Amino acid sequence: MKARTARTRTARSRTAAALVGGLVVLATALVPWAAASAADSSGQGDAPEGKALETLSTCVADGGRLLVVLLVDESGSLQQTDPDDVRVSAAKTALTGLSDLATSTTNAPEVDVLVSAFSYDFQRVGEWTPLDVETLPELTDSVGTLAARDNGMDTDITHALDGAREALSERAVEVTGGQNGTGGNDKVCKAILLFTDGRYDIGYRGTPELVDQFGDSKDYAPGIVLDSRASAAKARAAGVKELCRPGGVADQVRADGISLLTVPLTAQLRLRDEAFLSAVTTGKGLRATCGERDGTDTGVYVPAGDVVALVRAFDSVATQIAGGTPTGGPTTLTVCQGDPCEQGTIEVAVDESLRAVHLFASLPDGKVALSLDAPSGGDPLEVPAGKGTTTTYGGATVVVRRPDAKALTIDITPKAGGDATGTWKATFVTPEGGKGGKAIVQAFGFTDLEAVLTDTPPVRAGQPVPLRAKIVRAQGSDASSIIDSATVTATVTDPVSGRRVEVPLRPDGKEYVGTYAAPASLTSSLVEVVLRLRATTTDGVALTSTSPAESLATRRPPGYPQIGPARLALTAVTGEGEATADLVAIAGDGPAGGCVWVGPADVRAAPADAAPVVVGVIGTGRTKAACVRPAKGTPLTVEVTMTPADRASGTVSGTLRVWSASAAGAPVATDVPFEFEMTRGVDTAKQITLAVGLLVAGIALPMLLLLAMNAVSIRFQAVDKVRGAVVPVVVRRNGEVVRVGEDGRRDQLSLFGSDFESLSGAGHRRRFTWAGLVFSVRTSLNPFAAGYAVATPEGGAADVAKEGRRVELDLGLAGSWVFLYDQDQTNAASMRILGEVPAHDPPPEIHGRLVAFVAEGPVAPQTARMIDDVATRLPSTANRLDGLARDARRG
Amino acid sequence: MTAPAVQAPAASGTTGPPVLYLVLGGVSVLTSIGLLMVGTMTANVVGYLLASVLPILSVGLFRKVDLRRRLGLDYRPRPGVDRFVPIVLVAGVLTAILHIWPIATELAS
Repeated sequence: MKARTARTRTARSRTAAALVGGLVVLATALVPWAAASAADSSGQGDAPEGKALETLSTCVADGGRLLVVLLVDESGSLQQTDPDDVRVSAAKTALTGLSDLATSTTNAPEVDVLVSAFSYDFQRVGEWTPLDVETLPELTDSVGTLAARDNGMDTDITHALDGAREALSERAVEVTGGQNGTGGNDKVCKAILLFTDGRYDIGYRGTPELVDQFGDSKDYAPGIVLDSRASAAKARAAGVKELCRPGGVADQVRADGISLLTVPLTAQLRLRDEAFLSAVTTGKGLRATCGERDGTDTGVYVPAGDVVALVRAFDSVATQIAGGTPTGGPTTLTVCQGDPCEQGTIEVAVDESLRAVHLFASLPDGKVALSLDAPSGGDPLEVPAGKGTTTTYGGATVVVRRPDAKALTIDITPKAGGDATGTWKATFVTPEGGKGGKAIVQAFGFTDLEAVLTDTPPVRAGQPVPLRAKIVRAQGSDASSIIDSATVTATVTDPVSGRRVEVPLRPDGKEYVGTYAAPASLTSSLVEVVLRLRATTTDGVALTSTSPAESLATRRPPGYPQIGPARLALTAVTGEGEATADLVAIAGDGPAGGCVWVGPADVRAAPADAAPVVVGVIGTGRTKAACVRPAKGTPLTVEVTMTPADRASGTVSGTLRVWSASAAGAPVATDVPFEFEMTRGVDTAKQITLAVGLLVAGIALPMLLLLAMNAVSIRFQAVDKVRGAVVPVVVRRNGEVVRVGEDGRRDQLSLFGSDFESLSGAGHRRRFTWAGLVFSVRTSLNPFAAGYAVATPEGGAADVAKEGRRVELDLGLAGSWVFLYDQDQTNAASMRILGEVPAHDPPPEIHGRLVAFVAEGPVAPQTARMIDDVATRLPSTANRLDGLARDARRG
Repeated sequence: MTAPAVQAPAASGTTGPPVLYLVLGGVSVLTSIGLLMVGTMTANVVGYLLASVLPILSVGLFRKVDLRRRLGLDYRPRPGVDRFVPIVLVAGVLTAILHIWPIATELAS
């Protein structure tokens, strides 16, 4: 079979589109896993076609930076529907495909990828990452983590798409610096590749753990607590409503110009769920709709019902975006057994008009080998069953991949200076005695040829516009020498009214000419022209191509001021603020030059929170009465501001009406398309408040927790395990401490076993009373300090200072002692020795009682240590208490 | 009239500072530092708790137990252990701040 048709694009178009195609390749890899059991080589459903792919392809071809969100289901149902983690392998394959495409050409556009997952909410798995060979392993690892993520609750497509949409908006603002839409490096193309195993689902939270992990409510279902199946069903209904209502999430995705490619992960999807997913993607499904915006320009739903069709469909999508075109319908071959044969061979012609050839084959099983013959002769390239290869062969780079056991792709890219032209033969062979069967092959061709406008004539409402085009190669060189016959058609689109007009261009020498009759009602500041080429080369290869859209500015009638630019790209809005851009008005012909004013804006798409968008103008008025005249030779600059109502993420687009008037004629309206990105950004005040709050909480909470732990756990040593003794003692002025016997005799300080009695029954472990003292536990205000005990005289001690009324002692009572100061005895001793109680000097003796505690058991070893401590520290304690008592007397 | 006064140290039977609590705090901070590399919201929340709550709790427990043990006759001080306390706390607070900022940013977005 000969490759008779091919679609052409510019090199930029091909390259950019090739990157997008990687998305499809990635999805292709996913398909086999999705329903391997359903593999049927005979299934060749129609490939997904439509404007959506052209929209994305045109955007990328126009120099846009491709932003891709891989949005992968992580709901718990995957444990049944995808036990082999097909989704992970699929996403990895997609990344590889994207990386290959992004780096395979010299003019490749940039591709940024965000790996994400969703169940109850949108979850970023990594950060936005520019895709190249260096970042591919990192992204692949990131995707690999999705294998363990199959226990999420819900399949909340509303949150998933809204999260992905916001992520795309934020990234768009980051990479364009807020200048999206200005073309070149400042233009972005957004895509979401959605992998899900089925129906929109909200589960009820049956346990506290589920509530902690997944929350018990949905923001789109206020007042509904997910504590029963009935409430979960209500929340689901609310979620679907939020997704599909006019202006809802689905509409916002479309309004943002996001290409949504939806891939169901299972072949067992219920019909109504499939219809719903299709409706979410394109706006319409089988007896289902979603949103009021038409999604066919942005959505591609790739059903999983037929695995082979799905694989082929994705390959077809990839090829179209990459600039290829099918060379007719699929070809069914009989796989050769043992040796190559004619029935198992497909022939593909390659001439100088072709940049590359791509073949996709669905195979009967995984035991089919490939034998590839180049036109230059020599040994064929043998690729064993189950294997792929990348090599140089026959003057071309040949890449053979097997995205699945039953799928194979062949890419033949002629090398510069190589002799790859002629007929290539690909033969499919199974081992002798093997199963044989049918192989279905689809061939695609890529060329460098396209039609371009040779000039960009101005457009005036109600007047004919001459269109002239020529056929060129990617480098811009004339291609007429290799064209045998061709037809060129221009499609002129009014972006304001949406009206499209087909203008056939007839041959005129080496050019093709035609006339576009601009309607008198045309108000748009521009029209977009797309050229479609159908040509046959001198070698007999039929080609088709679609050029990127080119804008032609409309002009106001003579005597009226001219308005520019034709498309208004405003600065992005991050958080709160306004988007701005400058309009320029140039005085019209004639002595008056006319005047201009700015009318209202027609906001056609905006995030819900952004509406209404308030338009402001500096430099001219808003009514005819406030019209401003541009000076002759000096353009009038008009600053346009657009202020959204609130923070939001998404794209705001529409048209701004600008009026111009001349001295003689009626005012003329010009509708200028505008667009700007919004991202919620960060609420700085809230951010700082939260940070401070978290910091304080992070320190204060554990402190409070420590205090609480201290308060709860503090207690004495068990009092029934403790014995106490009360011994009268005297502290002499020289610091000697002596014991006073019952008979008044004074002996060396000592403690005997007979002095001690059990504290059993004195109280409990937080408070007890013994020897005229009340002992109670206290928690330190220092959370790092140990607790302590307080001993206060039973009934209080009114004539001593506070310091003397309370003492601290360790909670482990055994080994502790307390000195009870006896002021009466001390004064009596002073009277007896000095004849008076000294007011300022220390008394000759200080009397009191030593209260000591030991643990049950042998006393001597415990008191030996205690006696030394008492002798050392008690004198100073006694003197301090006596000083306090004297202070109390004096004052 | 009598008034109570001072106490003596209690006897207990431990041998040194409870280093295990300090180690727990240090490991908590190190784990939190590791979570900085993950960068997800969950990792930041866990890292924040590991860097703020656990170190302070572990240091608090270290202090309490150490004070009690110091009252025992068998207590054997280990010079240098105390200097790790501020290190753990300061490292914890600094690490917590590094987690706090992305958390606050996420919540304020």
